[in-house]
Amino acid sequence: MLSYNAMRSCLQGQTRRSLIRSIHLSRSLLSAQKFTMPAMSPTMEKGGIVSWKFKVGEPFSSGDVLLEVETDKAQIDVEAQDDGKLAKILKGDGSKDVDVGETIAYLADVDDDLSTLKISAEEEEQVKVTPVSKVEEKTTSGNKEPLQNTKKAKESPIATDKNGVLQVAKSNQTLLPSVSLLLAANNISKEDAIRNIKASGRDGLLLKGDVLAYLGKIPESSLIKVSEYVKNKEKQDFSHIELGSLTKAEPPQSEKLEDKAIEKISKEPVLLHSEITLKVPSNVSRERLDNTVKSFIEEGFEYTHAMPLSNINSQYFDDIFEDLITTAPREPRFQVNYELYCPVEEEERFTRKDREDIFDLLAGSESRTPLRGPVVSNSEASTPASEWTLSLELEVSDKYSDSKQKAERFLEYMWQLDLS
Amino acid sequence: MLRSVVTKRSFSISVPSWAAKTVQHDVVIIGGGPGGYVAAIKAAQLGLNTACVEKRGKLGGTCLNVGCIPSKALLNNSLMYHQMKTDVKQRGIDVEGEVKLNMDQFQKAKDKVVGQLTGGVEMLFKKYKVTYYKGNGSFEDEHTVKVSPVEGLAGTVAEETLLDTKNVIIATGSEVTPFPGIKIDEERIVSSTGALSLKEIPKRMAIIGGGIIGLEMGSVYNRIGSKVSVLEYQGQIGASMDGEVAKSTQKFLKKQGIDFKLNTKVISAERNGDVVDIVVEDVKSGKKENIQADVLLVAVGRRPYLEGLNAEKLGLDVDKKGRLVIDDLFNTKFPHIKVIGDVTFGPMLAHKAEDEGIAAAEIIKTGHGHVNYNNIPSVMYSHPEVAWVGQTEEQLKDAGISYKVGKFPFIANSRAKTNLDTEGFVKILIDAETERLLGAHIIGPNAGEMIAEAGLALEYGASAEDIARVCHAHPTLSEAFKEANLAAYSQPINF
Repeated sequence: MLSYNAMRSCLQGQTRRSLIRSIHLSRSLLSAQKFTMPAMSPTMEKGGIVSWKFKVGEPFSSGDVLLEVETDKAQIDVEAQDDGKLAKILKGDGSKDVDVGETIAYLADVDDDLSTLKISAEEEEQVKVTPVSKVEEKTTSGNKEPLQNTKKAKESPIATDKNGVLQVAKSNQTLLPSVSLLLAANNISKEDAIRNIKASGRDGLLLKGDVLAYLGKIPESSLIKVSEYVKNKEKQDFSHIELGSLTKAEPPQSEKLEDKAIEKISKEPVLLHSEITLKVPSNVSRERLDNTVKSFIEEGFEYTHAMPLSNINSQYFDDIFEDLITTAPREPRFQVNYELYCPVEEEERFTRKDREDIFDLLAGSESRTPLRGPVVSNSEASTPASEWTLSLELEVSDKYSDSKQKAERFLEYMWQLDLS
Repeated sequence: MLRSVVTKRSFSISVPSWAAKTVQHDVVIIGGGPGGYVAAIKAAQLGLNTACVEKRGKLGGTCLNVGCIPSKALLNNSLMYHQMKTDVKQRGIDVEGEVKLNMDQFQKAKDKVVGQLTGGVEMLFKKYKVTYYKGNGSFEDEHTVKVSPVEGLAGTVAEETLLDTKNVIIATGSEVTPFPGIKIDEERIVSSTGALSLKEIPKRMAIIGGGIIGLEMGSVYNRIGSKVSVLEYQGQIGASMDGEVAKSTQKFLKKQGIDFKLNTKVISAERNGDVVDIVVEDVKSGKKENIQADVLLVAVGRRPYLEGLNAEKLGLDVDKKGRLVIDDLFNTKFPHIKVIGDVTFGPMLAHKAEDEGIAAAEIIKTGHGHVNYNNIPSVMYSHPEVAWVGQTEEQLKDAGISYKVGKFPFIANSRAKTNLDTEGFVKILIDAETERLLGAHIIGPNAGEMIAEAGLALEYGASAEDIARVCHAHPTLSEAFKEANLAAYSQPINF
């Protein structure tokens, strides 16, 4: 942030001069440019100069630390953005409370003769118009670029806008009629125009707006705004894609030829449902019930997958042959989802106004697992059995022809549990 | 090089060698419509071993077979008929006897053009050595496209053929969007396809949808004697037209005799014998109304067509509207599988698909291609025609771009006056500061041809002045375009 500001304020100074030069090419006298107190932070209003790192007349190159500036928070190096030399220092080392934007020195080009250098009135005027950096900082993003972009440094790369809509003008281009007329009217040669004016057109083509902005007849912000707008419109916007699914609900109604080739894109999965009522002594915890149900389901799953569908007692039965003719015998034919719930218990829980977890309460008493055969419990009389519902849902694979049969076999197996 | 080796191996594993014959290609294009066939020719011209798979039996897709081309044949001939009947007398041409429309010949003339053009594309395939497979193209894996014979299709592939390819371009296009609850029988309740080949002139024709397709077909049947009503849910016709242009369009179509019911919701439509009973509801007041028509055209848009492609096998992404998801190089999640045209994003226009086809082929060959989505013209072939390119006034307002408008009416254009054909205007939108051309909207004779000039100007970022300083021949309609540009940044001369 800090170096950005410093760079920018240097840049402003530097670019301003090159603009003036290119417009007034006929003038032989070169003029120095003002170097103002840079704003090192958005809130900085005043600052001090700790020291200048170069003497008047001593050339510096871009990137060199030109001076050290002191704010209420820190001391910051200010780098030169371009080659040059100091023509005159107005605020020497140790100056305090220098307003941001106040001229602190004059800069000249490296090969300028300082004795002939003139600080023109016109130049003073130009600089006063330039707002200080902090003002610029406060303006909205749309207006942020103009000062940086309005003018172009002579040799340094172009100060580009953030989206790069302004480019170096293409060297051997045919000028648009509007552009060549504007250049002629303002005594700018084609070569100078291509060298100095940034282009917003395709592949560095100079447009009328580029020249108008260069001449200061329109704000550069307008040029950048419309260029960015057009550039964005040239591409498709992929930023708001909401993904959908490939399955189509309704068949196409049109163009009969195409109807023939319709393939069903995806099959609805076959689902089998079954609800089994379990009579469970009320002193059996949900956890235990759940565990035993789970292991029974696993057992049934193994059993139905392992057991051949044909009659094993038949004289023709041969398990090796059976295994051979079964496609992918070890692949699962279905998936089991189950839920256990106990509506009666729920009701009781509310009527008894029991705040504790009912299942925790029921835990602790020893009883046989209720899952094999009829429930036999020592304390059956004292602990009445409650009805649980085991809800099973099987997702049957569509890959194998025997899937459904095996799934049905599994359900039969599970029905052994039903004690109602 | 490396890739082709890898592909070969994966292929030999996945498909048993006896299953089908295999052919190698650099590019396989699925779909032979304006996007697909153009991509195929371009790819072949770039030296790629190219194949195109099409299951319709004729190349040219919706556009050539049941879209742009046949509709323009009907539009042109119906206009001639209409002018013979109503217009030529004032020009000093007396027609002896009655001017009659021969519906049979009217349709034959259209079919002849379609036949010539689709056949022409096939010739081009031969010329540029594009291998043409008649059959259904579907994905076996990401480098294999299976072509299956299509029953009843003349010249279809004899057996399932596997195309082992380095690149695929999906150009399967779009199909008519059905209207929920309305069954299209293509006799009395028709889609655009059926509306192109009606056997007789319906006395009353109702059209659901005031977009380009609905208005063009409405124009045709209005000219040859049908009483046409357009039912549109929105408050404006003409889809994405500039608001002012849409209003003027509605005005001139109304003057020609087309009835418009805007803000009107279609509740139901049912065929009862030879008539169709339609129930509509006013969106604002909720008032219901019964309308009877002899033919109902359902023209509520088109949707991407992916049937039989087996895209789900590769897990290609689609969005909520069913469009295949791509990036700015037309790539799906597989960089060697590209998608162009109606089946992906952007306006469903043949010329947009064509440009994407060329760009996609070039990207395969060189890595670069060019399509400017700000510069895709739209044309409605009513009379006068309506054409536009770039931004509308509404879009510029929304984006907060300050703009200037230049307008020039054809009544002030010498050629239009000479032709006694002066309906319409040229409207130019430029940036207020830079004067860069942002949009051009034309209602007028031959607007569809004139819009090309706007496109060229837009492509190169021309200002209104640049256009106005280009010498335009006199007397031509194009002078109106020049004058509108003059009006935008300065003042017109002839108005």
